[in-house]
Amino acid sequence: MRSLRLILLFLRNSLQVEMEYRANLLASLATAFFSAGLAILTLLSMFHRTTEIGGWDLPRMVALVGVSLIVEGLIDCWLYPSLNAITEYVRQGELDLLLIRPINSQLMVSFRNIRIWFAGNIGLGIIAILYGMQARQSLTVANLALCALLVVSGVAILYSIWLAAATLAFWFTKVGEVSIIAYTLMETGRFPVSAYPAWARFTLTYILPIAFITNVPAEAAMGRLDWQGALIGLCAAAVALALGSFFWRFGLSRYSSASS
Amino acid sequence: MSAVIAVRGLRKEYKVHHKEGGFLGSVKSLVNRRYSTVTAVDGVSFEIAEGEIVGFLGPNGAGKTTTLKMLAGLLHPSGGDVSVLGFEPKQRHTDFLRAITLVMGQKQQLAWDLAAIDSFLLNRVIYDIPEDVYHRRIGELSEMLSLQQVLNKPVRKLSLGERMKCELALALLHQPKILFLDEPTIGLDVNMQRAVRDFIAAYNDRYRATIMLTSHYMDDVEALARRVMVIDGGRIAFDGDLHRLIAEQAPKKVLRLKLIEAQPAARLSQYAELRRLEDLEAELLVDRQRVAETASRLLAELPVADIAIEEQPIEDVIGALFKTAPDRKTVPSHQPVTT
Amino acid sequence: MRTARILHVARIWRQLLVQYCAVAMAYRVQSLIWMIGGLMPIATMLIWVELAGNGSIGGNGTSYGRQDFAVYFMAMYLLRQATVMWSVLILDRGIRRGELAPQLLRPVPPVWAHMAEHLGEIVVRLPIILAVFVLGLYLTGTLGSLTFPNVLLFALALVGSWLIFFHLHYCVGLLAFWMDGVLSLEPLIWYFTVILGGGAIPIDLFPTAIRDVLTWLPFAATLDFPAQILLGKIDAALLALGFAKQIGWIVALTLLRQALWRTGLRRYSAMGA
Repeated sequence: MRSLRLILLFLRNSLQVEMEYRANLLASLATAFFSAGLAILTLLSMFHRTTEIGGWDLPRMVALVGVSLIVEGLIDCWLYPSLNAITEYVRQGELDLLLIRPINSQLMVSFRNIRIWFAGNIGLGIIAILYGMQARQSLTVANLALCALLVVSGVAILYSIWLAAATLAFWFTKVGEVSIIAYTLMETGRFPVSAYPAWARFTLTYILPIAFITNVPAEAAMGRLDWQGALIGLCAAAVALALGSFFWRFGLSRYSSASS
Repeated sequence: MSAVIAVRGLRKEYKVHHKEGGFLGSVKSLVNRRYSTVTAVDGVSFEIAEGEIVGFLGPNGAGKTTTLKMLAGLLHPSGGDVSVLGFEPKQRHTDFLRAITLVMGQKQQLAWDLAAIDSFLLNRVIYDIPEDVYHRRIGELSEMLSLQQVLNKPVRKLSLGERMKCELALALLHQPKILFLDEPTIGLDVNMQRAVRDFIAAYNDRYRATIMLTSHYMDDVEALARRVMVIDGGRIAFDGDLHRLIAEQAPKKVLRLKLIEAQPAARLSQYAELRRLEDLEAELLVDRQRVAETASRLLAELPVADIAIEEQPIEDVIGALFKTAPDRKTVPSHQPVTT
Repeated sequence: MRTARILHVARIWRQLLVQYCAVAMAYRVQSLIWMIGGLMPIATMLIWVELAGNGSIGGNGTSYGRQDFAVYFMAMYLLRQATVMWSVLILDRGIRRGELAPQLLRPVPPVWAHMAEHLGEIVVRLPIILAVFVLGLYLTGTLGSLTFPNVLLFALALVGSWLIFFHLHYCVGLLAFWMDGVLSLEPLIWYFTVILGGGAIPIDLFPTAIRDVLTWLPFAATLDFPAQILLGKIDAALLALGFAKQIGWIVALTLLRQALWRTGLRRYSAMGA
């Protein structure tokens, strides 16, 4: 359908732009490689001194790091370039130019800029998950499919939060780098929620829902997620998407009626 | 008269990579980069004496800004010699930097979030200007550019014109002996342009500063510069008196007629080349020697209400110069360099 | 006259700092949001404190209990906040978009202005950084474990860390004279620094072979070394060695910076200016 063709077109354009800057490509591949490597190094070094973190053993932790890498890769190549641009559009007054085009505005701003070469993390993340699954003998198609589904829904939650934060740009043009909150969140997601003190676990599950974004898909890959858990994850994503989209339209209508 | 700026055989080349269009072209350029060498400045030589104001004209991409930047020490020449006040600009000696200034339209020195006066204060310390001298100069510059209301406002709240004036004042705070002005009036309205022009002339007058100025606006050049250098394709196409340029290149003058009765174009064309005819207004191009003769004939034979004799607009003159010069467009010398 | 010159330099520095403190104040709201990112060491601290439980985790001849982790990671928080760097961004923009040009025209090395810009930001953030630091120590009951000499030495090591960090980032930023993608390299410096400097795991707790290599890298000299001083786990010999390493790295990186600057300026293509 048309939306899909549009997304593919954005992707192709972004790819062409990226290929102009070869050094950029090399640098981002190097960054992906090293950051994944360092994450694994950290994990292995921690397990040199302990046998489990928050009750999770090494294969589970590797899968968790894998999920984190995938989500971070998606942030770097999709969420950050596209959604961060919204504040710029508002500030430069370019949003109007986007809105007069006959395309769903949310689609337009969400997929406009994709920096494909940051996707290196995604590949490495997949490898990590597969390794973890192999080590735990949970490498089945069903688990993989469920994990993939829940990664998507976790990202959907992150996307909705980010979109909502970017929508704030309609009211506060000086909102600056909202992305730092997302990056910090992802760093905390490298560890299972159970590794944090009791008082922090509630926050990390329901308020800053890192549990849904990283923990749940990782557990699915390990074959440790029951259908209730999966259902909650999917529902959370659906709710988040609906709320995010609603907030965007709300912000847009306020913006259109207020701007001169 | 000793030259404060002496340039000989100045050259600047740089590499640009070529890319084909389309997706396939992008992929190809990823793997196999083809470079070619572009010559921005191709053997330029001139000398400028103290106190001269020189207009530096040329189409976009002709090498004006590149030359100025080499004179200011921002770019290293690919070849040739350049000496400014006895210094080699690229060495960027402190004494050299204290004696020059470069004003570029879009680049700014003013700190965006602070009041203009704060940037002035910083420059005062950097250029080691004694306090009394500093206050005197601020007073003078404020007066010459009408900055009194503006100095204490945050720079981001100033209009473009006010900002440009502050930039200009800031650039001149340390009383440089040599001014390189790259499009100093670009983006300003007519009044502001006139104010800046008057200021530059007054500065040159008062301090005997040497000024090199590039501009797209012929009014700038006409008002300020007696001498012009025309650069095209990285080479000097003309260097001399502005009016000589006009006389040499524009052997014609413009006769502007206001008619009492409309006349057919064919009739007017019998006297001279008809440039424009609109209702009762006509413009004719006439050879200089024959201006008086043609004018009196027109007055005698046609119902003319008013007649004016004018120079050809400089734009035409300069434009014609570029067209008639032997082909000196930058020809990229193709040396495909693959990495 | 040497004294006149020194005084002039001092005046320039003072004015630069005044200027950039003012600029940083104008950005204080954005700074506050940026500081949220600095909370990560606190999250890491929570992980390790839980891991340690009531016992301790040992390695390479030392062991860390809850209190140790608390002090260590609060020190990490302070260090990371006090060494916030964005010269890669400044240089990339300056070189590629020609914003460096006005600074090249002044008879003052541009690097002075860049340093002052960072220092101005730190001055403005310092009250909050210190408040969070003290609060963190207080809440974990470790405030009393700090001794005056340790804090003093820590501050000294912090200066060394800042200088090393500044030059590290600056050298990477100067690569913009030669390549497009330096901004993409910035996260890399970040990862290297945090992981290999002890920001995620105390250096001592790494496997021995790895640890031995890490102690010779600049990253450990900037993060782990000052933290160890604050922990009080360092004797006089190690202290001297640590400072010597810091000085060594500062000298090496300063020389590298100057070399890169000189060669880079020569290459400054007409496109960028």
